Amino acid sequence: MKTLFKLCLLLFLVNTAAAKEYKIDTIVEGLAYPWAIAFLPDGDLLVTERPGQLLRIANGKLPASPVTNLPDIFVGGQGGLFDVLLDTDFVINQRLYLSFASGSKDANATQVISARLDDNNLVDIETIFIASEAKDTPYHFGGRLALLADQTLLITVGDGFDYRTQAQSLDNHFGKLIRINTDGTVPADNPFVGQEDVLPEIWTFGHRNPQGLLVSADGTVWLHEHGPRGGDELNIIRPGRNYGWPAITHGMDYIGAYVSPYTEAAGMEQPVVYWSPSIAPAGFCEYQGEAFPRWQGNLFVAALVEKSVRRLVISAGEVLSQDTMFTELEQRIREVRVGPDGNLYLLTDSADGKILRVSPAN
Amino acid sequence: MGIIKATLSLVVAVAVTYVLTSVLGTQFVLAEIQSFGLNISISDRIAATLHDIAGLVPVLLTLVSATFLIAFIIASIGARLFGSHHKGWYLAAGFTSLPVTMVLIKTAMGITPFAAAGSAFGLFLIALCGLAGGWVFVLLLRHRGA
Repeated sequence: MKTLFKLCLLLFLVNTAAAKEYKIDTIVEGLAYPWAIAFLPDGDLLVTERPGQLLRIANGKLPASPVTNLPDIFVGGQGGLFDVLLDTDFVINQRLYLSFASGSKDANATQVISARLDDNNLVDIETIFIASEAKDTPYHFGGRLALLADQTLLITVGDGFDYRTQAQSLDNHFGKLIRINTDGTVPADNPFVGQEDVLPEIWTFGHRNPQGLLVSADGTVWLHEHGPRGGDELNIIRPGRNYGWPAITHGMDYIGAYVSPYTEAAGMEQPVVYWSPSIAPAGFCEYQGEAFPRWQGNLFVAALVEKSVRRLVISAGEVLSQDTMFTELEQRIREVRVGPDGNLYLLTDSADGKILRVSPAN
Repeated sequence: MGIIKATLSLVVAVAVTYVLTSVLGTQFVLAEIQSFGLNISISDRIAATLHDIAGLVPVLLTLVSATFLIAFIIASIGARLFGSHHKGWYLAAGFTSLPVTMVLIKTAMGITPFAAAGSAFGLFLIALCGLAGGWVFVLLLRHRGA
């Protein structure tokens, strides 16, 4: 009896400690489907709203007006304004990168611009990438950005839903991870440079709708992508590799049929981990900070459908364990990022979206 | 009694079209996979086909049922209003109803949920599946009426 009592007490103490590990504060509310966040050196936040606005938020207050001079953005279905990424030398050059859907309902594509942020305006705008070919579906744009250590830019492009078979063809950008220089030119060491009938921007292929991309502290490139019904994937990216979609998948088509009866094939990469049923992975970050020493080096995956954030404990490229966090919010989580203060920042996906800060309870 | 006969005929017609359309869809998907260089064994093909026949019940069977019900009611009204050629009306209803539905879904949702409907050739084959259902419907009505 005493042993049982001690066990219960221990479990209570452990749970209480875990519950008090963090607190969540609302920093900003009233955002329309916020998609991505960037932390400016002066402490301001840049937030993209999928309906086509870029907001510069100072002192936790919504600005009187959004950042001006944005390009024309196609807003429809899953299309709109996606990621914002600061250049590594932003302090010097004030350059940033924006991904968005361009075009129209009948002919749209994922596009990326480079621009300079001048107070609340974009100037010196250059289009550095437009996915080829245009599509007539407003879904599966990808749209995540990341910079590699060599300052080349990675861009995820989705399969366009109806164009899923194109993810296996190298003459288009559907279902690809793209690598370009920040001026839009193609790096000479891309894996398919010089091959006939192959687009040289392609770094990897066989993706569905990748909306999570990060370069971890050790240089590993991680990518996660939405599966169909099940089969969301976390992958380690290696240049030139085929990640299988739609030839192999752990997911099923939404209508109940096979996308493929196969989950593996020669020459096609296996995910590090997959999620069935789907959690709908969106944002992605690696925790590097001092606020939560226990989380150091963990990967965080925002999950829309699961209304959570998955914390992945990683070792040698493998997922050792997963925690499902922040379900108490009961919110679709679009983005998760580590701020300069070491706290975790979440974007909730709704018409009244919020920026939430996760900080140590004590 | 006529309603019961018509209903039973419709059920069989729906079943025939559903199975044909499901089998067609699976073969389309497997053909895509083959084009990526994967070999598909006969046993895998059969297993995938049976899997999809079972898996598509909630969506595709419902869709075929609703589509045929509406299409055959329209065909029945049309045949009464414009005289004879009942057979032609039902065959036309079977042939056109599913492709029209697939196009309407694409227009409304912006996507093609049933992969085989993503091309004109696929839509034509789906139309033939519907035509088979229409033909079965006519055959059963005539047989039961004899």
